[in-house]
Amino acid sequence: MAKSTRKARATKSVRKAPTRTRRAQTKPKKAAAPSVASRLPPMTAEKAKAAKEKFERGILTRGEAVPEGTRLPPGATHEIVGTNPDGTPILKRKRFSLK
Amino acid sequence: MARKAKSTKPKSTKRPAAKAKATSNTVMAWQDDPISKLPLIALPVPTLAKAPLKLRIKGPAVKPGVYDVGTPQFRYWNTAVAVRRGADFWAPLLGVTRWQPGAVLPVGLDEGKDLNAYYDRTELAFFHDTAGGKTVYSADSPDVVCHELGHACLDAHRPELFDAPYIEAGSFHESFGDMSAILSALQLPSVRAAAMSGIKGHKSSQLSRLAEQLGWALRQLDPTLVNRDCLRNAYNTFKYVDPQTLPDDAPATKLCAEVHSFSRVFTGAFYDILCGMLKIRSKSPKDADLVVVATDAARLLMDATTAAPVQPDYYAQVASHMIDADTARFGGKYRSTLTSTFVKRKIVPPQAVRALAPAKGKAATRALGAAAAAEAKPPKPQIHTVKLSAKDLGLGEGMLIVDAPAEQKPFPMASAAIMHRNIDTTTNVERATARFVKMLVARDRIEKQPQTRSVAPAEHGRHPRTHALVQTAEGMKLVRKRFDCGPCC
Repeated sequence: MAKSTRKARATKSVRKAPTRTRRAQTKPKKAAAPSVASRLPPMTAEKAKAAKEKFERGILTRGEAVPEGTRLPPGATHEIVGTNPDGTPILKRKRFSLK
Repeated sequence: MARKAKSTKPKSTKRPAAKAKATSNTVMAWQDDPISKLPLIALPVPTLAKAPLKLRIKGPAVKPGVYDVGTPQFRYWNTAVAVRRGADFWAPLLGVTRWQPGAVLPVGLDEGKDLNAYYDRTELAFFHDTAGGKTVYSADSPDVVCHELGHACLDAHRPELFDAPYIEAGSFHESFGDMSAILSALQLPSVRAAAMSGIKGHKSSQLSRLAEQLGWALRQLDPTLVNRDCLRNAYNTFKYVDPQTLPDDAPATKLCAEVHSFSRVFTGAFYDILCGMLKIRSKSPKDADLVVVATDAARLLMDATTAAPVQPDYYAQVASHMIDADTARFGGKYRSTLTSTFVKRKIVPPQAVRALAPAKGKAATRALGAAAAAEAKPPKPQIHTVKLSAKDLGLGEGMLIVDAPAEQKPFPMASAAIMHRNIDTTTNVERATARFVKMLVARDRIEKQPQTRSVAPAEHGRHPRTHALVQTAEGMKLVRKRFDCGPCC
């Protein structure tokens, strides 16, 4: 039993492990998959501006913003902290609401 | 109509706590919601002050014990176990040791009259109000508690999202709250057992239905405000539509450009993905598989929210970064469910994942890799020297110099983050560098004693310190000493 084990070990040791260079030649390097995030359509300044305007208009339309310093009524999430040069209010989030 | 009202009326809250088994080391609590049909359970007394994410319930502490449902004492421990469970789930994934409001997050159990709950960067606030002849306390629902806690967790992890003026950023915050409620509930073995068939069969379940009791109360006031069986249901069919094209308000059955309404698109996708991930993990999943899948899904969310730039198309950014995170972290194990769900929900355009679609088998993977390598132009590396206040970081006096390499991708392959025109590259690099150094300080990864470059940093507990402060001719400089690829990095 012991003999056969030794034999098996001896056979195993005869096998030569491939050198680093040989391994590199036979096994192609695994390249990273292309990033999905990098394939999204680019964002433009115009799109960002329109998105901001839509968001703020919605907050105001639904009455979710109150003047700065006012106690937030149920459902309100933003304060109006100033006015832009174009007359639109500057909003600042005060909290997140469950609904 | 009468039948529906009968089936949804929250009778179960009348159940006395004494009926359930409890010991002196346990408290009684609802599992996910008072009317979700899951009974009260006995849970170990939680330690609210446990680091790293410490919590404190405002007002006098209540002695642990078995209290009747509906009493302030019951509400105290019901909220305590929910908030602790959520924080314990997120803490190892967030990589932060503090809340935005500070080291301890206060929790207000009953802050007045409202059928709502809030997170406002000072506390989690819960309320009560009467509807249909019944007084409902929002803190009674672990779903609601873990939703609000989710806001606090995401805010600690990604504070830039708090005041981002985009519908998708605000909606994602709401969706994260709902995902937090789902993932926190899944930390309870009894919820997993009850939810297993719903997830395996990809259908509506106690898990997908958020805040049934509060939903019921709101439905008494106006049936169009909420879902027919809960506040919001993660099992839904809402598909992404550019929020620019949606109305500002709409009944709950329709999608609109309001953050809670629009959040259902991402939460719906997440629930689909959770079901898909479980199917990928095992054809006959067990309880342990659901534990792993919940954590894996949370890791993908964390990775994606770390990397995704905060901009108007935030859903696509997070979704695509989740697919990329799966490739990096799990070797693309969950790719099929991530890509098919996000494309089906129209969150990610099909062309963005087209290159990934045939990537099955070794040959395809090799071809894909070669194609990507051929397509990719070498980036233009630039070194930005960023100077940060060492005092602000708790690293002594003067300025701390950090060399930050930045790679600019060529136009067609540039990520939307780089294309965002509002912030120039230098500002981005400075912000990213400051954020990175803060993270290193928070995780105690910097050897604080200035030393020469040849000296290796000392080992520190479980994780070695990866960076060191080196005194150079220009001043004190932060240099990397090693990469730590431990399981928690």
